[in-house]
Amino acid sequence: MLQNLVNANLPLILFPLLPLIAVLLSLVFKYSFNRDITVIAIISNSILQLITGLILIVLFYDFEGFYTVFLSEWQHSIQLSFDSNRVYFLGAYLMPVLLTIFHHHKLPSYNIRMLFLFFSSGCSGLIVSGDIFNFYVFYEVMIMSAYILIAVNKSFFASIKYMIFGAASSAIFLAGIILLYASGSYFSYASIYNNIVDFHPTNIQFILLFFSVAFLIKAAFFPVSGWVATCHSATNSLISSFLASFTIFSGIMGLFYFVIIPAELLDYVNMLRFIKVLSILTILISPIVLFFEPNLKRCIAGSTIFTIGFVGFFLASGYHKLALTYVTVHATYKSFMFLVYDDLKIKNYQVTGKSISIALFITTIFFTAGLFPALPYFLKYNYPFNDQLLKFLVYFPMFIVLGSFFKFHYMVRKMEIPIGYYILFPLILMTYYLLFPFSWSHSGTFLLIDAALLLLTYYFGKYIFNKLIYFECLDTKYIYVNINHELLYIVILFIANIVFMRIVS
Amino acid sequence: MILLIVLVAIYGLIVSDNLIKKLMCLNIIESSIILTFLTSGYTKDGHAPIITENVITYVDPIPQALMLTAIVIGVCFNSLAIAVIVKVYQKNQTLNVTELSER
Repeated sequence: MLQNLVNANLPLILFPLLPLIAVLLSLVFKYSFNRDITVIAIISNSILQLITGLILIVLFYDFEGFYTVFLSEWQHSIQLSFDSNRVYFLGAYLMPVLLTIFHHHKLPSYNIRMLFLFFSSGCSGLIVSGDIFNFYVFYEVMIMSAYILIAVNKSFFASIKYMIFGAASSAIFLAGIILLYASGSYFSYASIYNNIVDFHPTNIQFILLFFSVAFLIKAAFFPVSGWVATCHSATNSLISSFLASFTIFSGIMGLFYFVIIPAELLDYVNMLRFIKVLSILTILISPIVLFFEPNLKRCIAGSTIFTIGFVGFFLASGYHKLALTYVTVHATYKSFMFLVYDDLKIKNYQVTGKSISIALFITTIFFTAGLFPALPYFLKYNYPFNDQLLKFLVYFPMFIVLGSFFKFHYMVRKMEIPIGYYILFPLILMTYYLLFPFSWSHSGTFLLIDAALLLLTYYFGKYIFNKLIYFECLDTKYIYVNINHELLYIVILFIANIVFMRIVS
Repeated sequence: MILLIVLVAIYGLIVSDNLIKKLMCLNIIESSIILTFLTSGYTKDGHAPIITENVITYVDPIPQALMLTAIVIGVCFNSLAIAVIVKVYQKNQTLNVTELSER
C-alpha cells in the first residue's frame, strides 16, 4: 500500500539530510538571532528521522536487490542506496534515536548538542551510502564526532585510544579501496557485486584481506577488542548507547557488505571460516574480560563484544537474517541498559536503585547473556549446530556473562542475601525452562544443561566471586597490557588471515 | 619504496611509547596510501583533467577527487588528535602510553 503512495527517493535523500538541516538552522539562529534552538533541533530531528526511517523500513523490508538514487547524471556521482538487509541496521540506529527524544537533557551544552547532530548525520549517511567511498567518508564523519563527544567528557586518553584504532582501521580500509579501484574502477555496492567475478584472483584476495582486517578492527573482534570497554564507557550514557548499538555495528555492516557477500559470491570458503574462527574466539574470550571487570559501565560496554561474536558467527555461516535480527534486538536492549545505568547506584559491587530500574536492568542482563526466555536465546536456537562441542562452546559463555553481571549483586565482601531471593529466582527460571514447549522441541538435553548451569551460577556464584583473586591469572588484562600490544594484534591479525587462507586452502 | 615507508611507520606505531610519535606514524601510513592512489591515476604525458582543445590524454581525475577528500579527513583527524593529545598531557603530565594505560 505504502509502496504505491510514497516514492522511495524522497525519504532516502531526506534521511541523511535531516541532521544537517538541523545543524544549519541551529547555526543561523545562534549567530543571527542569538538563540540556542539545538534542543528543539535534536528533538525535531529525532522525530523526523524516526518517521522517515519507519517509511524506509516499510518500503524496503521485503525489497529484492539494491535501490539506488544517483544525485547527478555522472556515472561516478554520489549515490544513495538501500536494500532489505540495511533495514536491520536502520532499526539498530532508530532505537537510540527514539530514546534521544526522552533523554536529550543528557547532552548538556550547545557545543555537545551540535556535535551530536554531526554524529547523527554521519550515522544516517552511513546507512544510506550507495558506494564504498561514501561509506568511508560518512564513517569518518560519525567517528570523528564520537572522538570529541568522548573527549568533552574529560576522557582524553579513551578518546585518543579510539582515534588510534579508528585511524589504523580506516587506513587499511582506504588501502582496500585503492586496490578495488585499481582492479576495476567500481565503487557502488551493486556494481562491485555484479563485476567481482571478473576481478583478478590475486587482487580480490588482497582486497578481501584489507577489508576484512579493517572491519574486524572496527567491529572489535578478538584480539583487537581491548579498546571497546574503555572507549564506549567514557562518554555519557546516551552517546554510549549510540556507540554500542550502532557505531560498532557499522563495522559489522562493512564486514557484511564488503567481505562476507563478496566471499560468498566468489565461494571463498576460507575467508568465511577465518571469520567463524575469530567469532568463536570472540564469544569465548569476551565473557572472561567481563568477569574480571570491576566497573559496571565498562561491563555493559564490553558485553557488546560478546554479541559481535555471535553476529559474526551467524553471518559467516550464511544465516544473514538471523544475524541482522540479532543486531536490531541488541540495539534495543543495549540502549535501555545504558540509560537504566544512570538510575543505579553501585557501591562495593552492590547495585541499588529503584525497583523498576533494577527489574529492567535484570531483564536486559538476560538479553545480553542470551538466556531463555530472552529473544537472543531463540535467535541462537534457530542456528542448526552440527557439532555438539561447538554448540556447547557457543552456549556456555553466556553463563559467564551472567555471572559477570551477578558479581555486582553478590558482593565480594561479606553480606548475606535473603533466602527468599534464592528460592524465587530459580523457581521462575525452572518454570520457564521446563514448561515452555518451543524449547523442548529443540533440545531437551541442552535445556537441562542450561538450567543446571544457571542454577549453579546462581547458588555458587557468591563463593566463586569471593575466590576471584585465585583466578587472577585468567584475567585478560594480561592480554591487553597497553596500546602497543593491541596494535601488534592488528599485524598478527593480518598474518593470521594470510596464513589461514594459504594453509587451509 | 612506498611499501618500505609503510613498514617502517607500522614498526614505529607498534614500538613507540610516545603519543605524538604514534600520530606521526599514522600520518606517514595515511600519506603513503594517498600517494599510492594518486600514482595509480597517473598517465604518461597526461594533462590536468580539465577539458582543453588539442589535448587528448588526461590523467585520471577520480583518484585526485577521492584523495582530496581523504586529505581533508586526514587534516581534521590530525588537528583533533593534536588537541586531544595536548589535553592528555595537561591532565597526566605524560604522553607515554604505558604510563597512561596504568592510570
